[in-house]
Amino acid sequence: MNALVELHGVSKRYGSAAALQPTDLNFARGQTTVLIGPSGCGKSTMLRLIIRLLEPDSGKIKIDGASVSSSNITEFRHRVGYVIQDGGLFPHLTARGNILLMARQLNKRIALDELCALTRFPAQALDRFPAELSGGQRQRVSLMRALALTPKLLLLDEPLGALDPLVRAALQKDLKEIFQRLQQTAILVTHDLAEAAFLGNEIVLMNEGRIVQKGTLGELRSQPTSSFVSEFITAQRSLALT
Amino acid sequence: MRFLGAVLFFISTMASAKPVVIGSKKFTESYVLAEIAKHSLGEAGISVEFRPGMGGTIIVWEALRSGQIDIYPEYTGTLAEEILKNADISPEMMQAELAKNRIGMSPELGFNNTWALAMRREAAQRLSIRTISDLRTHPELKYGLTHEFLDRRDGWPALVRRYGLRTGNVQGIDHGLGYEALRTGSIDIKDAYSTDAKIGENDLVTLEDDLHFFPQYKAVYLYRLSLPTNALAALQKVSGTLDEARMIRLNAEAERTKNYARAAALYFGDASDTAESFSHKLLRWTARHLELAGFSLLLSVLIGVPLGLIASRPGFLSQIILGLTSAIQTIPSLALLALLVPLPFFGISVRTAIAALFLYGLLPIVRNTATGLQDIAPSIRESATALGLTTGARLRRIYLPIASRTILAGIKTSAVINVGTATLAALIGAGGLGEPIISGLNLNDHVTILEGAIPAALLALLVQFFFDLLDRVLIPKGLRL
Ligand SMILES: Nc1ncnc2c1ncn2[C@@H]1O[C@H](COP(=O)(O)OP(=O)(O)OP(=O)(O)O)[C@@H](O)[C@H]1O
Ligand SMILES: [Mg+2]
Repeated sequence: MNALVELHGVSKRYGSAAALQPTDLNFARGQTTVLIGPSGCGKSTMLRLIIRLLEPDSGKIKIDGASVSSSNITEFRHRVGYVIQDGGLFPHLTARGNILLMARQLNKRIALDELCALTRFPAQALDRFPAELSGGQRQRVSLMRALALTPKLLLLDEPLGALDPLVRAALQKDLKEIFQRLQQTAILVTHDLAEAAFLGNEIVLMNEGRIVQKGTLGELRSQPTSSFVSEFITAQRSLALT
Repeated sequence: MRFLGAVLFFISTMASAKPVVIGSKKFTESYVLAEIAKHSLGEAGISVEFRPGMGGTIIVWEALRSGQIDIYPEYTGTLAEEILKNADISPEMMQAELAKNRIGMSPELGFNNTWALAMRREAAQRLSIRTISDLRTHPELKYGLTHEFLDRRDGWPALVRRYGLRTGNVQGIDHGLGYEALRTGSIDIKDAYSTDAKIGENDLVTLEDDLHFFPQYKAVYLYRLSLPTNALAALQKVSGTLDEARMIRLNAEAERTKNYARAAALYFGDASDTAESFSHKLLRWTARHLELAGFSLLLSVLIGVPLGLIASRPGFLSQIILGLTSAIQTIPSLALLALLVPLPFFGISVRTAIAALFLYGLLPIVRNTATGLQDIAPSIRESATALGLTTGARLRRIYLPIASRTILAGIKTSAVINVGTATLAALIGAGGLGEPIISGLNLNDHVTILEGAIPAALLALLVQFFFDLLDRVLIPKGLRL
């Protein structure tokens, strides 16, 4: 069985508005899957459902073939890394404090220098507070925090969304290397098709709470299953040209 | 939790030690008589707790009846009229009625402090007025009477009827101001107590009550029958030793020196300065003040922060908590004290003062804790949950430290309010820097008022300063960038 995460008929609604229609989807082990689609199409909702920040209204989510229940949710979360757009770093803790927080709670030792090398973070900046770091450095710290307990699954919600293009390009390259080196199963949300193509083994295109098509960028481009797919790709390409 | 237990234990023992407790009402003569009792018991080697200036007749009587105090000075007339509600009761009946409440009455101390009408000696001689009956022939005189005397059933209206006075010119005036008005001639006659020190000081005469209208207000001590016999013997030594002239002298001494203990010392023939030095008094007041404000603040924090935590989650409970704590804040502090005093556990005690201050201190802490927690960004909350921190760890390691600045600001507000409000504790005999303020107000003595008011203001500033320092220690550095 090759899928690490399986969604079976999972749905979520807020009041009368459906954020995610009943969805079946598998995420392959050791692969990077990218969720892409227009704003509000349900990408973040899917990540929040997987790490159980939200409970699904219907359906089942299986991780490694097993359901997550309230009794094993904490242990489950220790094995999942979660990185969000502004980093979600705790402002009262230093970079080091943020990264080691969970490990210290669990009395685990962590090779911080290896993490720094992996994410190309200057070790002398470890004792700075988030407010004293640049946006790119904050995302590297957030990534180290997510990787600290060697997660079997890494969830990234627009991790590079707020960065300037140069820093963003550097981080894209580093992320790709990290994923490959760690054989990391990762689910990444982005708005940027180029980033999706660069980082993802598979792209999942969503619209209005449902999956429209999945495959590589080449497949989406050559065999679009609907006009929405081609329009989305064209819009992104013309955006990149201007 | 153990800590909270220890605090509660401390507070309850603080108020339950067992010396003889002497109380008094809130006017000069009552203070002096209480000081005399204290001195007399002290000489007999009996340990005494002193609660002067507790309030009016009903408050002090209730305190005696419920056992919060053991002794206080009272007047037979007041006892008959206001407490037993039977103006014609005989002394034997009075003893019997009191015994039902397990209270005894000492033999009379000697003087009769009844109502009297006073006028300037010079005017009385000029108009040859010696008795109240003589007033009938002088309808032109201007009367300035206290509101209490004007309104009492057995006061002014009854007097006018009995003597058949014709009076057109009567106005209500405050007791203290009345003496001033007499002096300047804006009134000619006012009501007074027959042992009032002001009568001697202002060269006034009291008019003879030739129709025996005024009731007898013989001074006595009331005491609980459970009083130890040696204490009772020491108390009864005072009986029959104080005539009007002597009491007027003691009252005058108290008002002249602004020192009741000194007046009592004069009674015992010890005119030397037995009074506490100012620095010692200041230390005692300040220590008690800090004790009141400190304990109440500690309780406010121990209870307020958890309440704020609950209130930070939207819902019915949150509205109830915030609503209740806000409602408490709108009760005037005097009213809150008055509401707590009749309750069984509280009464006239340090506990009541601490409880009232604790209740006042709650709102800023509850509200700031709730706001501080609500203001934490959703991304921080999501990250903390997604990391797999337990609920307790999220609170301790993430939410409370991030909200610490707001919470501390609430605690600081409470502390400053408490230091200010703690001055009112003196109203129920709980001491503190309010003690000189209250007795200064009673003596109309600004210096004494300032002896309490200035240190209280300085203390508030110090507290503010202390918490500013505490901010630097307790608010994480990452939040101060
Ligand atoms: N807490 C919430 N309450 C109500 N509606 C919500 C809530 N969170 C999300 N939604 C709605 O659910 C839908 C999906 O939201 P979601 O955050 O998953 O979108 P997204 O694809 O991540 O969008 P973006 O690219 O802008 O981040 C949107 O229509 C959004 O308005
Ligand atoms: Mg999103």
